[in-house]
Amino acid sequence: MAILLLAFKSLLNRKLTVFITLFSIAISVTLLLGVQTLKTETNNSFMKSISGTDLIIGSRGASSQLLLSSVFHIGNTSNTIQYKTYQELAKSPAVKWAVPISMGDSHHGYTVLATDLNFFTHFSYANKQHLKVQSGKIDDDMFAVVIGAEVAKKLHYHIGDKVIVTHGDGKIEGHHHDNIPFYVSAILAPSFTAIDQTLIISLEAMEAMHADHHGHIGALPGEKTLPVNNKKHMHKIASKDADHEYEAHSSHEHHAQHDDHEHDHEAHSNHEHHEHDHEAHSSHEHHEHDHEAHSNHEHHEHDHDHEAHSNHEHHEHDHDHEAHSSHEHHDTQEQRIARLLKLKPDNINAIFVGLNSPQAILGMQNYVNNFQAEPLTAIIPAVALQELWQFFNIAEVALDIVTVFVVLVGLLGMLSIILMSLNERRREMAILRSVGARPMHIFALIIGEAGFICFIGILLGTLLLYLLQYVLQAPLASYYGFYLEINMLTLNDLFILLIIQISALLIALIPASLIYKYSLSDGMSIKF
Amino acid sequence: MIDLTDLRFAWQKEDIINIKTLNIQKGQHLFIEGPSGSGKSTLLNLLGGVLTPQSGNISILGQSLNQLSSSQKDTFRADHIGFIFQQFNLIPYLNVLDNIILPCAFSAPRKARVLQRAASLKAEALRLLTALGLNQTELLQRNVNELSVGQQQRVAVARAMLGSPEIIIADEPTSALDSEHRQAFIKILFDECQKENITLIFVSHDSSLKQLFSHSLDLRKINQIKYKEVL
Ligand SMILES: Nc1ncnc2c1ncn2[C@@H]1O[C@H](COP(=O)(O)OP(=O)(O)O)[C@@H](O)[C@H]1O
Ligand SMILES: [Mg+2]
Repeated sequence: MAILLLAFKSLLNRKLTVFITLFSIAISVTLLLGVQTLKTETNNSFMKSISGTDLIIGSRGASSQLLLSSVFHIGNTSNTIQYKTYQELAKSPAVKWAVPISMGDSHHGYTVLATDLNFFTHFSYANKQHLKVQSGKIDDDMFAVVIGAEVAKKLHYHIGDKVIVTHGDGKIEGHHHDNIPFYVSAILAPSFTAIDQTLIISLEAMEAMHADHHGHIGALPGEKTLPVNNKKHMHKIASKDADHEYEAHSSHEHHAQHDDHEHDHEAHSNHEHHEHDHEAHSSHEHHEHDHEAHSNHEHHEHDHDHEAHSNHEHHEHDHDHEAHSSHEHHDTQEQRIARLLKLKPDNINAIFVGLNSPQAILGMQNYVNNFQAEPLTAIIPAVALQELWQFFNIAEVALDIVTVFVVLVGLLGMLSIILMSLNERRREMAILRSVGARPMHIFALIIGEAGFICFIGILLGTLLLYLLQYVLQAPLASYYGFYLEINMLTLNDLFILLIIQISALLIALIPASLIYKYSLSDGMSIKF
Repeated sequence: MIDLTDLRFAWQKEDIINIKTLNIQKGQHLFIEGPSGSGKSTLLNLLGGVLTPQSGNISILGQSLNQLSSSQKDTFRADHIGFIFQQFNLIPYLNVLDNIILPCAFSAPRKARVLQRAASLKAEALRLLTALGLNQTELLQRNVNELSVGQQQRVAVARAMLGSPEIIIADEPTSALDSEHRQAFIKILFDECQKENITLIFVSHDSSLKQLFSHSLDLRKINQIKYKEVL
């Protein structure tokens, strides 16, 4: 005990060198623990990217590719599946819900995700948390866009702002769909997933954006005859469209009502075309299906359609008086046509699927993988995430190796200052021997010093780690969309610290045994 | 009370010490003279049990050192012998007080003896310093590097005398002092050893000090090994 007190006082006497060594050990410990923390935190946030989705279905291919594109919005979006496959799969008895997603467009480098409103009811992340709206509300407007927290923040978008979407992945200058502006209807709360960097639009809007369609429609006779500045007229068509949708969702009575409303020839001709398209895409069936799939949806749809309808009336109003606050947005010609057509896309990229029971997952996966109509892949997100994480294993190991070396350098620094002090301390050792210290005491003195330096270094390093975490938590979240959770040291961390402490003691064996030898040969003789 | 018989010691293959017999009486103040490199320090290390002779025996206070293990010898030394060296006797990172009471960290009997006569280790340290002519209380908390060499040597004496060990071994304690201080230092050392009836063994190359001692001997005369002049 007395010898440890001596070791402490001896260290106190060499404040500067000891402090530098302490600091180098502390920094290396901070780095090591920081890397461990970062590893677990990135893993956590990675694993939290999606939850509650039982299967992700895409075209036949690598599961990691499907996961990356559908969940992280990274990489290839050229692999598509047919929309009607989605419709068919959604009808499977095991399927509780299915949400189609389509990507490939971008906006200032942010992914544009096209899906339907069900996405917001079913998509969840972390512990089955749903996406929360921070401001605005999710409109069922075809050209409403819901934007992620980071998109809003970085691009300074507010509710009601106009947004123009680029076709393509944004890296190569895709052509702007100048004629199809979207308006921001809702901004999502940060989820710290890829959704934060995403703009969400409707599948119909995405379809409308794609040149093939509106180019083609532009050539239609009905379109040509549209008087360009007769806004009221245009909106009648839009209303008609809404009516039509209403009809698609409802019973025969409404059909009759619809017929009553039928009085515009132009609209009629367009409408016929629309009907035709509907058949081609069997969109009608889909709508019916929706009705079946969501028991309470019927009511919602009705309400909703009413709203949509009244909205349109509002719009008409707006056009007349030019005064509206947030939703001020004028449909372009393309938009009006698109509203009229309400085309679903032919192809989508992936389907998020929730099943009625977890037991059904493997069966459903098998069914999808052997789907007759087209080659498909179904992945279980949790499993695929885990697999994908293995890829990062090499990087993790490399990082580990680097940090281990940093710690080693810290400890070697300690070794060198102890070794350097040995010569000048032989006198001190002789004095200690003369008052009765055993060589073992001298040995313990050195080991004690090393142990002490390392222990304090570890404490300091840990303190520094938490300090850094507290300081960096907010900026990491706001600038990098990375939520750093501050946790207690894990058992693994403590184990690592123990290893460092033991290594320090082992390394100290070198100077300690040296001085042990010196003290045996020097005895009490002080030479120099 | 100290008996050497047929003592032989060699560093590696080089013989340094070969003493047939030497007896030192209790309470004696013995001066051992010898030039540099003649083996004085080596002999003192043998007496202190820090070095082990190749052959022969040392018996101190009736205890044969040969019968003790090396750690027992360390304890024996701590309990019964105080040492004073030429210079830099003190641990630089301990203050004066901690330097003086250092032997108590390694010897329980010595600590017990101190506490028998004084209320605390500190009180005894202060008493010793006063007796040695250093009577400022504030000195106790001072860093030893702030003291003059003469003061340092007296602090070293205080440490050696703490807990009244039976023997004090001084290895050229006055070499770093000027002649004036040298006389005063030796006088104080004598007085204190007298009071406590301590046996003093004092070695030096400086034969002029011989006259101050009642007993003196020349290491070259008792040592069988021929002293080789070091260039
Ligand atoms: N630790 C040691 N290792 C080897 N030789 C030593 C050691 N200490 C002393 N010697 C040798 O022993 C001889 C006597 O040294 P020492 O006892 O220190 O003489 P003195 O104290 O009389 O000056 C010298 O020749 C010295 O070189
Ligand atoms: Mg000597």
